[in-house]
Amino acid sequence: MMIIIPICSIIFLLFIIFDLAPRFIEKQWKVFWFYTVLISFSFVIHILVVLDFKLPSPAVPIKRLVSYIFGLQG
Amino acid sequence: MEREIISTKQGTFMMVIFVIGSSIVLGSSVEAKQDIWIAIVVALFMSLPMLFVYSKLLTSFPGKNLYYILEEVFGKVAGKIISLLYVWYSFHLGALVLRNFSEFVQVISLPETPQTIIIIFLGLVCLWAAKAGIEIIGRWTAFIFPVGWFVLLITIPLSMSKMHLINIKPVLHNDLKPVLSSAFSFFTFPFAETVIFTTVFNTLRNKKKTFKVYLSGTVVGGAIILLLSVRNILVLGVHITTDLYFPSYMAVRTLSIGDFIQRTEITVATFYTIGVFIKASVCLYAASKGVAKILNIEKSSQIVAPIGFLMMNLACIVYSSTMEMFDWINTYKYYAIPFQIIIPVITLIIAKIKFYVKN
Repeated sequence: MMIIIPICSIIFLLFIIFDLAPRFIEKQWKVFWFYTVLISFSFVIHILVVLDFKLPSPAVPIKRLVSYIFGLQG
Repeated sequence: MEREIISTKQGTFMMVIFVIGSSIVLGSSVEAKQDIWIAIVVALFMSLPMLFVYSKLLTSFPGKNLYYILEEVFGKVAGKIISLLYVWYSFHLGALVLRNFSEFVQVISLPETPQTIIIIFLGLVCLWAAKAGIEIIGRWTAFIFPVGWFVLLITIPLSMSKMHLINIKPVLHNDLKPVLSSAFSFFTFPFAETVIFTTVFNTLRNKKKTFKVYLSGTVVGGAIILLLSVRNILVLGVHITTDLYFPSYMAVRTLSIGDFIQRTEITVATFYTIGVFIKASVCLYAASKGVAKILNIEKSSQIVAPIGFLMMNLACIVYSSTMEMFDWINTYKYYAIPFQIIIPVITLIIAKIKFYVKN
């Protein structure tokens, strides 16, 4: 399982070098900051998933909301 | 706006693969039991008015996708909020599709492989396709579709010897209610999921043929789902089909002709991979387009990668087990109603009123 961490890191690094860096060079700040925030967040989540942290799924609150609105049981 | 153009043929093929994408292996609803074929036909008829609404939206605003239409109809702020809802829907649907695939691979062939790995590698391919644009996805679909559907449908005549007509009888034995409930499930998953294409089909070369593309794509896709579902019931019987997670795969697995046509279940797995790839790519493309529109970013391809990675994250955490995934189908049919029915219908009505008032 731990082998996934270096694999993930390499993939993210490649995207940062070849996809994010050009945005910095071209001074596209909006895209650059959006990209940076999202990619950092997803990298952290990937690592947490690999380390077997129990992260909350949006499916549970959606299911609760849908059940409440449509009056479903269970 | 980026200039991309897809032909009518590419659009139709893309829609067919999108429709049969995950439902080819998962199935949608088992409530109708042996009357599943009636449920699919009813669902197809139920989806016709919605297909008309989707295509009417696109033809009323030629060259504009759903995100532009929403802003024009509801104004800047409300339009962006509703666009955000569609970004979420596309993003969530893409993640669900990726997760369905990883569950399938893990259950069927790679039980020791972590699902994260399967999701990352399929997700990367989808990310690549979405980044390349809808033209590339369209061309790839037009290339793979003729081979794919032949390979998929050839399993039907080959499994004739295993079919038992008694499995599909008696017709309507369990009353009409489960059939209608099942039909509604098929309507929301997969037929009305084609609402995603309202964010894509502004790129169609011939705008007048939007409804034709919608109709032919959904009907052909529906016909393939119908044939495969009936094949599953005829080969496996109602009880085994309803008990299995992936009935199509198992139905083809039983196929054995002489000593040389065996292990043909790989055809199902291959076509499923193609279907998931196209569906997840289109969803990712649609989500990126929406984010780009909301944030006023000129090229949506520049933000595909971070959204794609987030989609992979969501796919990893969305379910804790295979059972939860199949249980979600019951919630999904209600969850999808606002995105597939309510918002498009309201948008079209308001757009028509605005046109009427203006003229």
